[in-house]
Amino acid sequence: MAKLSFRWKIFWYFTLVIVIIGTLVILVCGFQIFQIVFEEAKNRVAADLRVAHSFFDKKLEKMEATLSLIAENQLVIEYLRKNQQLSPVIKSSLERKRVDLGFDILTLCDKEGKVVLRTHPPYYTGDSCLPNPLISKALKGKSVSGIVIVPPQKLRMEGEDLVQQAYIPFKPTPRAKPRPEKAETSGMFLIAAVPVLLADGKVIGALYGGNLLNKNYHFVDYVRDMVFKEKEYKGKPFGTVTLFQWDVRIATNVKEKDGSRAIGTRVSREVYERVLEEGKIWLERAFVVNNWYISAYEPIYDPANKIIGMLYVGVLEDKYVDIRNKIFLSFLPIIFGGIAAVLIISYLLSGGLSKPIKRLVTATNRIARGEMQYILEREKKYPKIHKLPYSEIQELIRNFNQMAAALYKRETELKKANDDLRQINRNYMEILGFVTHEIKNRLGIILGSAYNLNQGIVGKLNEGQEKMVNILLRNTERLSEMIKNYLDLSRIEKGELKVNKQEVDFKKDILEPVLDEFKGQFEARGILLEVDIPDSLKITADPDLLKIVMENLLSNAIKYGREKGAVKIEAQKEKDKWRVSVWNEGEGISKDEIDKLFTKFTRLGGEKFRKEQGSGLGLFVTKEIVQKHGGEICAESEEGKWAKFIFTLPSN
Amino acid sequence: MREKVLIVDDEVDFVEINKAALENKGYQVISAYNGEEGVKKALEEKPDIVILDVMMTTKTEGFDVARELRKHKEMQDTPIIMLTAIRERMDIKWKIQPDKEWLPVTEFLEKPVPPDKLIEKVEEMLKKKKK
Repeated sequence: MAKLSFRWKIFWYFTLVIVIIGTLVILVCGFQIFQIVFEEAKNRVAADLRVAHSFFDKKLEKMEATLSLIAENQLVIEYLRKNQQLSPVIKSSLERKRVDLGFDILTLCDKEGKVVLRTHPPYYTGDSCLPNPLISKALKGKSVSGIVIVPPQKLRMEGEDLVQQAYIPFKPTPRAKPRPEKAETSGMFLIAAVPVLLADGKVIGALYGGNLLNKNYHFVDYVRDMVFKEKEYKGKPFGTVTLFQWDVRIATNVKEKDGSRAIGTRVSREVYERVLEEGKIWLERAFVVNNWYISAYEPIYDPANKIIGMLYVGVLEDKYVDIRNKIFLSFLPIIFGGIAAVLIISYLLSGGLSKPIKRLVTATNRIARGEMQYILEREKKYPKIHKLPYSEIQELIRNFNQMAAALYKRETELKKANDDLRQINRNYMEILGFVTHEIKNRLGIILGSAYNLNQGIVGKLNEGQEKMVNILLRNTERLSEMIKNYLDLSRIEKGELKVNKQEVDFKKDILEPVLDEFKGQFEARGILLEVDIPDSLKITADPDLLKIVMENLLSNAIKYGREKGAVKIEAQKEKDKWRVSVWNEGEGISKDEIDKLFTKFTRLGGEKFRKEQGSGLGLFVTKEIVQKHGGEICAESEEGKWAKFIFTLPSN
Repeated sequence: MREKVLIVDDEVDFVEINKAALENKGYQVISAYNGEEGVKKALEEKPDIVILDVMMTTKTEGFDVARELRKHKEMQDTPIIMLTAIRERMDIKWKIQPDKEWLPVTEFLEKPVPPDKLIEKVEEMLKKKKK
């Protein structure tokens, strides 16, 4: 991956953080919304349950009131007071009232609790109804009502069809608590019982009536319609009400997939334990038949305060899921909008952060390219460094500017110092050149006059005079040679050593003129000269410079060579170069000195050469010239015997 | 007949030395100390050989003198030895060579010249001329 710029890196870090935070926010908010909505739904269901419950109470109250009115019927009072034979009038009148008022049962007991009249076929009488706590309470003069379980044998007395209606076979329910029974045979009744009173308040009997709840769909549908205004949500039943006798559904609006009412199924063990055993309300979401419902179960108590069943209210969860999703969806654009806004801000911010760094990078680049003044100008252009938002970057730029300024100052100073030095050196070299040139001319004239004296041109000299003139001549010659070397040096130092190359015949153009020059000196020292240079030695070189080379080497050979010894000049071709050597018999050069030979101002030391001191420049100049021609020079020697200088020149 | 040598050089000492040396060898020496005088004496005396210094009042006065001399018929075959300081050549990019039009001299000699070298050269030139 290509390296990201500082700006993008910052931006990506920002983005990463924002995305993480955003995701967390969405998750937390989603969860919170779900919780709130669900809580709200549960509260709603709990309230619905209470409302549903109140319908039972209302129904019971109504039943009580109705029965009270019947109990005030004179026919009934008279019948019980006189303990007469049951007249068909009373019987048919009460039966008609039962049917009219919608009771399933309407039964009259005497003050001992014995049933004297049943208004429902088979009109069974004579049994005691004292086991029913409600009736025994009514016989004590109280109007009471409640939900009770009527066992099968009693049920049969109340009516054969009621046995049929109450009978509900169990359907297999996987999560229910196992029960030995196969079907529900007893019935759950809404029962109200009122005393039949004389005018003085004496109880002479009791009247009770009730409705069987098993398969009583009319009642649960009524409760549902009263509690829930909307019947359906998206084609699914919205609110449901169910009655349980113990754990069995005996009346419900929940329908099976085939459209039949879902009775006979039982409640899960979880609900069973919580509601039936612990007597608490169960409030959770539950999967009922096909859909998720937010469900509430509460226990139903009989008048003896024993749990006999449950009332269930459920609300379709879909609606609340939709509400939750709606809220969540309306929330998402806000979150995403926020994220986008933060991203834009972070993009701009990262730009702001990286801008001064970019400036620094540009500045360092330009300084690296040698534009020393760049950062100084930038500072003039952007004088508001102190307004940058980050103190570190402020400091960095300030320090950088100082550094660049210091660098620029130092470079300027160095350049000036260097220029000054160069100028001083140039002046020095010019003076040196001029002075040595003047000296050389004077020396030429001194040499000339000494020569004339020596040659006896202006009269014969005596022995002492001749000796002195010779000393004069010799020293002037040496001085002249030194001056010549100084002149060469000044040219080299000034960088003016220019090589003007041309075709050169080494023997004819260089060696012969030089040897001619040194002829006198060879003769004076009695040195035997051997020359072995092939005629084919023709090169491209600067003849005047090569003459200087040969002059220097021969001058050394004569100077340091043994008197009456030999000097050999040789040349051989070697591949692409010529090897020229000047050999002389003599004291030679020690190993230590060989290394220093070609450096400036080196002179051969030792007592033996004291009188031969030169400028110490000859070999340095020689080396420079040879190197300018692309060749090399070195020296070899056997101490006490010989010395040899060898230089190479590239052949054509 | 003694052969005539004309030395043109503003360096009086140099002229004196070489005059003494050449006279010692039997030459008749005429001296001149600047270019104008040199041309004048050359035309008057008709020397057998001219020794001419390049650098006098100006750096190249000797060249002008040589060119001037060659204009005269009687001086066209007279050998001219031009004295020059080779080390001054650094200022000149090309090699100085005798040239009929531009540098009408016979030979260059590098200063400083020992008198014996000069005498040798003079003898050589005159020998050539006779042939």
